[in-house]
Amino acid sequence: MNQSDAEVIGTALADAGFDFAVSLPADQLHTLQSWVLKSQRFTSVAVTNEGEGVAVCAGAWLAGKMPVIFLETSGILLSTYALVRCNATFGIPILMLSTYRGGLGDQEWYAAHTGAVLPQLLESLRIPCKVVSSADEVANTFIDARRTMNSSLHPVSIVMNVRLTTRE
Amino acid sequence: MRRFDCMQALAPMLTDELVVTNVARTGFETKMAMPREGNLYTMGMGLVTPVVLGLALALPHRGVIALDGDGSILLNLGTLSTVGNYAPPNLMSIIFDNESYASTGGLPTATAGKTKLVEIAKGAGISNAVEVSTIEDFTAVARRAIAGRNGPWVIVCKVVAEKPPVEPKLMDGRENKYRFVRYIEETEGTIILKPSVVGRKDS
Repeated sequence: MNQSDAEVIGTALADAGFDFAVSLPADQLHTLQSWVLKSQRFTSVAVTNEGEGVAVCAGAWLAGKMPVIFLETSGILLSTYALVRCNATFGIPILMLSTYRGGLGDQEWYAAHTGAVLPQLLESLRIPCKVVSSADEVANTFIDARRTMNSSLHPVSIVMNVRLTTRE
Repeated sequence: MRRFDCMQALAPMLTDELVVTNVARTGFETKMAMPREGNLYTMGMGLVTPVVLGLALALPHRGVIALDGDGSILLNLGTLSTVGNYAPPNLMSIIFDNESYASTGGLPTATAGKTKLVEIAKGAGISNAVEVSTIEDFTAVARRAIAGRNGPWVIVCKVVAEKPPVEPKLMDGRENKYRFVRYIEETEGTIILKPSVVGRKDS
């Protein structure tokens, strides 16, 4: 993700009310994560695995924060136990903002199967998902995500496609 | 030392602290020893201390306590590193170590072998990590930790594996969550649950 898009997306995230950010390694999101880390508008936490990150976000929401977790696509697979046992079981919303490795246009063989299972995985977790392709579109979607989180008390997923996360 | 004895010792020390418990008997015994609106029972294995970390970072002025277990923390040891790095002074993780997965048949955990959780916690940068095996020692350390707010604290309690004295009346996680959040709203003077846009300005 280029610097300009990272700033647009980070600013929009904060403007939409998100104020607690958990980061995990994600090659295509590092500029956004760096921007958020420097921002004074977020409490930022770097964790050791995606399940831990989901649970930290859940604790922050219980305390009144509006949490977002930045995930690599494969990280969504890793977080499924926490999403079901914590978020779905208790009814705790978080925003999952992720890449779409293995999505249309990805040129790495090792990501293909991860991307192939992502839609069905999110559907089986009953997590509403929107795939977006531009920074402006992502920004507008954050407000919708927050509204759905408040009303459903369930996680929401925004997946940024390959063109957005790899744009120079 | 019994886990229930630790809880009975802990109960009179608590005021408005937020408590999250491990699954099964830890949750049952917590409800028996100290039924409180500020308790969230039966968080999943490996998720107890991370949820408490989120609470601690979001409410830095408030004491938060994890009632965790050896099997649970072993599932997510990385979280001790995160606790060590962010070092919230208001966090205390009490890990009841009975060296077994007692609630699911009693298979031994790694702590029945060579693993020392207190050493792992210290290695993660948590200087206030102690292991206790008597109720007197537990009471003294817990009192110091709660009074001082100088955490993070990890208290590894070596306890025997056993069944709780009686089964408590349970509620499901959703009811528990609502009551827990309402308690935080009331005591923090904030609104967390926003189920409808009606009457709200922040739509």
